[in-house]
Amino acid sequence: MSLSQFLENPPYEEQPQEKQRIYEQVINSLSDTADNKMKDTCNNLDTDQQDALMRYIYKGLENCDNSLKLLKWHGALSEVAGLGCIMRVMSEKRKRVL
Amino acid sequence: MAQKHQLCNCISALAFNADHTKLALSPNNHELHIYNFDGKEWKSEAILKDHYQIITGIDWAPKTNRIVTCSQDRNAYVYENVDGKWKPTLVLLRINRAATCVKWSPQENKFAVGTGAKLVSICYFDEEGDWWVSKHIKKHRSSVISVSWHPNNILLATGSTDFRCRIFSAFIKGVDDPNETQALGELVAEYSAGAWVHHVDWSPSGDCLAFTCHNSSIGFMYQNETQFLRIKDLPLVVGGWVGETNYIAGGYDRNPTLFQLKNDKWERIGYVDQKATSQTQKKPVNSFKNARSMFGGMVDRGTSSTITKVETLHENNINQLWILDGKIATGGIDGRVIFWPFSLVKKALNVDLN
Repeated sequence: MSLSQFLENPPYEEQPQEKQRIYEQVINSLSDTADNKMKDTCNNLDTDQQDALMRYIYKGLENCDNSLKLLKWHGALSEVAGLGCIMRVMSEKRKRVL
Repeated sequence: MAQKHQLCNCISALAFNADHTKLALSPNNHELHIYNFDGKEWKSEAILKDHYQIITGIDWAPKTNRIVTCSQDRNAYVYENVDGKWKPTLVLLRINRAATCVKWSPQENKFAVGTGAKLVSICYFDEEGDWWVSKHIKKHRSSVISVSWHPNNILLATGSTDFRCRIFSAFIKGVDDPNETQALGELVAEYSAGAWVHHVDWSPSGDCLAFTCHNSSIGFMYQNETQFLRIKDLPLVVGGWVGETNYIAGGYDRNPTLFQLKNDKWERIGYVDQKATSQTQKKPVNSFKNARSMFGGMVDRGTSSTITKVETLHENNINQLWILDGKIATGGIDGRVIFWPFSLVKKALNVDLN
């Protein structure tokens, strides 16, 4: 499954095991993307997908999963989605990706 | 050109009188300051010290010329202008937490006070007892931080920190038309946003309720649908309607933003202060080396290369917004009151608000 397919239906309501499985696949997909493709990928996502991606980035940073790559993703996504995306991740505690 | 007036250190509440020649504000303390516009400047006319803690809300009734203030000291005062002096009347809200916001109803015979006690106090004047009486609307699960009256003087919208925007009936027997069937406190509608609802605002006709939330979103609620916009900027905290199709909102971005209804869909048009946005060209953030050298500089040499100069006219958040005749007035926690004429909006965003 491609990254945008993962982000199409984020598993906010799933069981923890399912969330863990999807989380690992998303982080792998993020780690495998080349640096120069990050901006284009972010541009092709809609607002819901951008919010979901930002949630995965923050969750990955929290778990220290490949922080270097995720920090680059954070920069690329912030430029495209803006501070509002980060605000939604921080303030909507109910939507948990893991 | 926007007119900037530095009136105090920080504004916690602000209201204008009917012809916009006077304003009442609280400089983030227990004092109520009345200012008068003499054509060029705003001069302090009176300082009223009836409250003993921070005044959180002020509203000035345009027709009856009464000011109502509410404060963290769990009280509200109604001021009447008697021979040039403001005479206060204490209102017993019967709350055990701070009051957060206050609004006169359209007919100015009652006012609603949002409180931290998870309820809204609807106050009206009882002629027999010659005092202001309050009735409570409960049903909130947390503090109420914003109230707004529908033009029919009965419906009241509330925004709360329990992430919900609600519409209640605030019918008061003896004050309102007895043909209304909804009882006081009856919940008419509820919308669950994802975060604190900072501001609720009925449109002038009452068809649409705009509400802004802390998750950088703004919603427009109609009877049959709700349009929810998620924006890329920081959250919006106040707003005002210009007609039925334009909505100006301001918040942590320090710059008023215009939203417009185009072809039945709400869109964000842009910032009113375009000069500020063109000057703040952000450097690309994706450079890990830049970040590393910046932190390295701070650690090794004690220097910081990111001294940011604030480019917007407001130096700090906008927390008050009023739509006056031909202009928008914003007050911020930097103590500034800035007037943005509609002609400036026309020049910046090519939108005619008149």
